[in-house]
Amino acid sequence: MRNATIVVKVLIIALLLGVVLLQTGCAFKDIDKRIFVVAVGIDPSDKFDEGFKVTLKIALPFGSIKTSAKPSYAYISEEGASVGEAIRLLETHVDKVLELGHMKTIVIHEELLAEHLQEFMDYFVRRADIQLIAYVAAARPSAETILKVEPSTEAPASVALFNLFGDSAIESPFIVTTYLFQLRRDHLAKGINSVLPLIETNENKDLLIVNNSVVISRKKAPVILSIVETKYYDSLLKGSTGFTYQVENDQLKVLLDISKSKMSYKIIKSKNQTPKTIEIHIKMKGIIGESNKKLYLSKLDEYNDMASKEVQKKAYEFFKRMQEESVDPFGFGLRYRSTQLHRSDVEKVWANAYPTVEFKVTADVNLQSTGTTE
Amino acid sequence: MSRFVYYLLISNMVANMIAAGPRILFSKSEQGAIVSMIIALFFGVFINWALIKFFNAFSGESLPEILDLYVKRWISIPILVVLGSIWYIAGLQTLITYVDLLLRFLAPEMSVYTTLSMFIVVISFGVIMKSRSILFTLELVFVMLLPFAIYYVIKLYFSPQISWDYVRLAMSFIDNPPNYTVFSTTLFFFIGTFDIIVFNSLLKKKMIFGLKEATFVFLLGAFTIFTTYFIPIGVLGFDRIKDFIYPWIFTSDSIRMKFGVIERVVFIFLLIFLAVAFLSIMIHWHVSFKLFENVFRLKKSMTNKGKTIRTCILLVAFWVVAFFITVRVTEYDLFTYSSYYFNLMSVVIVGLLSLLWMLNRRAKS
Repeated sequence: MRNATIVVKVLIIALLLGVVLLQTGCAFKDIDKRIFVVAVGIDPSDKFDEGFKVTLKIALPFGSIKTSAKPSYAYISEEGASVGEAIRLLETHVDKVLELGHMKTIVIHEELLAEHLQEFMDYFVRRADIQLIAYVAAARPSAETILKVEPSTEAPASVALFNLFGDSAIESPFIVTTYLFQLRRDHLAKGINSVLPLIETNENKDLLIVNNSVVISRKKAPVILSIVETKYYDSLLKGSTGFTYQVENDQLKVLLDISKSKMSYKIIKSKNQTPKTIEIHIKMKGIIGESNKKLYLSKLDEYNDMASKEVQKKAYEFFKRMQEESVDPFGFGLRYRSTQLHRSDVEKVWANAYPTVEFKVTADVNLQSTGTTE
Repeated sequence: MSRFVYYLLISNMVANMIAAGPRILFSKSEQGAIVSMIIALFFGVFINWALIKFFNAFSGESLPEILDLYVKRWISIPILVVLGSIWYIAGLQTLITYVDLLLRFLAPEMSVYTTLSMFIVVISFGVIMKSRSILFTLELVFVMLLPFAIYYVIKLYFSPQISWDYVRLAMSFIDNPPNYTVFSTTLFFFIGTFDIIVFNSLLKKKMIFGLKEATFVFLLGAFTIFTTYFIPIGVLGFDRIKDFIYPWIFTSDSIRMKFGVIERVVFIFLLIFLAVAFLSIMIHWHVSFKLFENVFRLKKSMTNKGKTIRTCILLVAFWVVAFFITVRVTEYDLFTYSSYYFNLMSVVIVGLLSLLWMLNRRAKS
């Protein structure tokens, strides 16, 4: 009896081990069978009426970082009636599996931002392997040109298009970072417009320049923000900081290094709940980084006043321009919707009121030192 | 309350955070989700209180044992069958969701059968374990995962990408009349404690459910519900939140660790929640298994061989049903049937509580 059970046990183990032989091996394709897409560019198509031209920037594998002087990329492009179709065709242009899981920058041609955005961004959100924390950026003159730029400062294993955004390398208030999920969230919401960074290049095509941005809206053409506006957008809404605030009056010209900036605002409503004024309060903290004259520590209050006035003026101009262009990158409309119980006409009330809403901006710049010298 | 009861409660809450629950909540976000959630929160604490109070009279006895003592066999069999199937479906629902998630995010090239078999083999082993070992497994996994889970939740709340304006916007729908489906879906967060209908045989000490325990359960529930509902809205926006199939996966895919070991938090998240889901399925099926075991009991004393055969038959039945349903179900079915299931569940819970109340009175007289 005992022998019989042992025999049965041995047989079962043998059977289970035998099953291993039937396995075909790894279901997962190895890294040498894959090729990593670094960035995707989307341009309008010449061949198709409503189609797109998709360009992929692919990182080529190299032996070791020491032996390769420059990173090497391959570029492939194809046109298709939709983004998905073009990428499917591109899969037949390479011998390996296109891996989009490490793709981190989506570059879109400026002209496409107006109408088709929702249509082709769908592909990126729907695919599970594409990260929702991928960066999205607008491109000028075209996405393909921008992707093909290989900046001379680019080192192997560090992609310039990744380093520019997300504060992982450079932190500058001129560079707006928009993630894919943010773009989707704000683009589909009522009462806020999303802002994308605008990537440009120089004549030699060896630099990537990002200091403008684009406000996009579902209803109208995109609005380009200038350098100063981009800076104010970034520092007011996202609290970005840096050496960038030029302030001047009659005799004195100083550059502020702001280390902390914060904006808070309140929407003042009239009796029938329509918005009347938006009271905006800006708080900044920092030091003076550059000056054309001798500064005095005892006069810090004076400099504060001067800087506050300047910030106030610039910010007011920025808000006013956004109002004239009837876009709302700060999400005032969203805030208005959220400060009252939901009514079905709340969006209409806001849309009617926004063009005439008044802005009251107060700024409070608090300078702590004049830098290392007076 | 014994600490194990809290583990049961928490594991159920966490496993439901990413299963079918959130989508059902969001689908009614403009039709009274918030009021229903608040009502369910209070009712959830109440059912926990009632359960512990009723079980106080029978410390150290599981529901099948109590039924044996006070009720005739022909009454107890249908009760056990209904409860057994309800608990089986609770596990199955989580199982289907996770197989789905694994196939979509972690191993897209694997066949559904392989994934499912891997799950089922491990879970079956858990199902036939002793109840005591299950509780210890539960504790072990909690101790190991809790630091990561806390880190993850803190990361969520302090993520600069959350826009609290959307959260406020969602709250502006507070004045809508309540909705039953949302109520029962939220109530499902609280039924983890009900696993003690089987585990009570191990909890010999008398349990107290006083103000302190009630407050704790209330806070725990409030925090879980708030996180489940409002954090995805803050990250993904309010106006089109209904479109997401698994809002929580997208939420964690939107959280970034700038200088972390990996930048995409979603993989850490999936692993933590996968472990908790394993536990949750295992517990639900274990409870279901024990209940069914008491249904198919021919005589008071069964031989060992008979018991082994019964275990095998039950396990095979579990597998067959799981395979059959998981392979067939589409996502649409999953959410429709899940909402039916939640609706039914809250009725069953009330029924179970009244049954316990009656048994309590019998025991006293």
